[in-house]
Amino acid sequence: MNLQHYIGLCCEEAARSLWFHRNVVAPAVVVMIVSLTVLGAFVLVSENLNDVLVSWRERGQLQVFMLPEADDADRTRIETELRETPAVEEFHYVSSDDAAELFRADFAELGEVLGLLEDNPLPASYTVTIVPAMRSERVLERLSEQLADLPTVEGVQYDLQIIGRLELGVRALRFVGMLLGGTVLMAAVVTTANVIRALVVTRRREIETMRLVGASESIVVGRFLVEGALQGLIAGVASVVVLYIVYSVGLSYLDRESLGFLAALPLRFLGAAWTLALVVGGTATGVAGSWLAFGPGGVRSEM
Amino acid sequence: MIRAFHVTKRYGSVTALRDVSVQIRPGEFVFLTGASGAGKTTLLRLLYRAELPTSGQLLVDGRNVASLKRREVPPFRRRIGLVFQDARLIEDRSAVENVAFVGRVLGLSRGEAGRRAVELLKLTGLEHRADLYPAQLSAGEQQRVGLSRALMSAPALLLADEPTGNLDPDTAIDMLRIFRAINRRGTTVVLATHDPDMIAALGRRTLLIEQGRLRSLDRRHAAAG
Repeated sequence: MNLQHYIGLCCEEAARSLWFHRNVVAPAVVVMIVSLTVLGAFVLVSENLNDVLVSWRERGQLQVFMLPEADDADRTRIETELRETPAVEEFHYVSSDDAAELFRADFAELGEVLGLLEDNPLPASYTVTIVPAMRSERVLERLSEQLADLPTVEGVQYDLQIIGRLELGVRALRFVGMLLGGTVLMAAVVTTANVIRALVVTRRREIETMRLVGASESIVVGRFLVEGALQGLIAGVASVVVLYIVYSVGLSYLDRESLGFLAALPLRFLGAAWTLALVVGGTATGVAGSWLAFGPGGVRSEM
Repeated sequence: MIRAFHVTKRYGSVTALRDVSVQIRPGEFVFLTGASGAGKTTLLRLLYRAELPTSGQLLVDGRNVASLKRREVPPFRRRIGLVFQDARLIEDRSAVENVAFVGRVLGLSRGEAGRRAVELLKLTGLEHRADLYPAQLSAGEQQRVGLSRALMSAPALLLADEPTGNLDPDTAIDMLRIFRAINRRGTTVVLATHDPDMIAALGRRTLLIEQGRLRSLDRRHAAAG
């Protein structure tokens, strides 16, 4: 029997068994779908947050906040300093009034608060963009120290500080996701193993008959491994579909205007690599479950 | 085709077969008879290597069954056709699919295995029931599907364990005719039965097992039961 025939036969037997015993197999597939969807959801959120971080990092900007008493001479001094700094690509001035306008645009509901205050608390600032080739924490740190030393500068803040903290958060989120997803996935492996084990036990006589009419061990075992793989494949594809539906519905309910500046974030569904990883991961989970049930030390050794 | 030399089979303290020696030539039709529990099924199970003899030598189709390696067992069984008393059909497939499965195991394509399965069902008169599942078939029909399945590999040896045990007399005679036709084509047939009428109807060499011991009977003795 050649390999192509062997694989075809195992697939044929597995598909037949899966369909005939669909009611028994369904709970294992559902557990796998839930596990993969949980895992996929964590990946989706962390990937989007990562995109935000990347786009922020690529912006390579810092904010130079001025003291309220800074006058035109002070501005000229700062602008001269910025022009003479090789790391600075461009800069633009945001007056205190412009800052208030921006705040109102980004936070519509909080904008009224500004009107209630006697003085505009938002300071004037410079948004400084760094030359792409020089966008590193070290350069930003040195430049921010240089600018902070100027007499009328109140303070300097750059995105990398926030990005650093957010990256830590994203890493924590990924860790929790992997831990939770991994645990649920292990549960899925055990559930699949138990379902396959139950199928094997209830079909002990059928398996024995197959052996008696000349089916080799590789056919008997292969068919159960493929059956597990098919369960996992179905669960993997289904989890991607469920995730996409939840993502799409979630987006349609998302009120982007209330998000303020977050509305500009590049939200996107899982990329091809992660989608494939979920499907392949599901398939591998199914095979692992089958192997656990039917491999060495599994129910086969009792037959 | 079959040569047994002082074969004994024990299950713990129970001896199922004692010092069995016998020779069955290629193309023979042999009845194996005896009371229930006498050891007929045990002897057949040794022949298709579902069990190993406790002592003695057993050669089937030129192979010493006790020395077959695990991976050599499936190809060995593909040379033997097996018919069981309860047919042992696989519940989740139709009659034709049950028969075709052996063809698939032999390496035939799906189409070829299906085509041959239909031919074999025709041989046993069941082509009109090909798409029915075992639960939808009578005991006699299930047996005929089992026989068709056993013939799929064009076996040199056909072993049948009480194939007519659950059948009415007319259906049993029909089955027997099929066995005889298969034997005429050159297949060695060993048929275990405790039905003296069946043995009398065909009048072939008969081996009697009593309390695990084997001896030959002449036709008259067998017919007398």
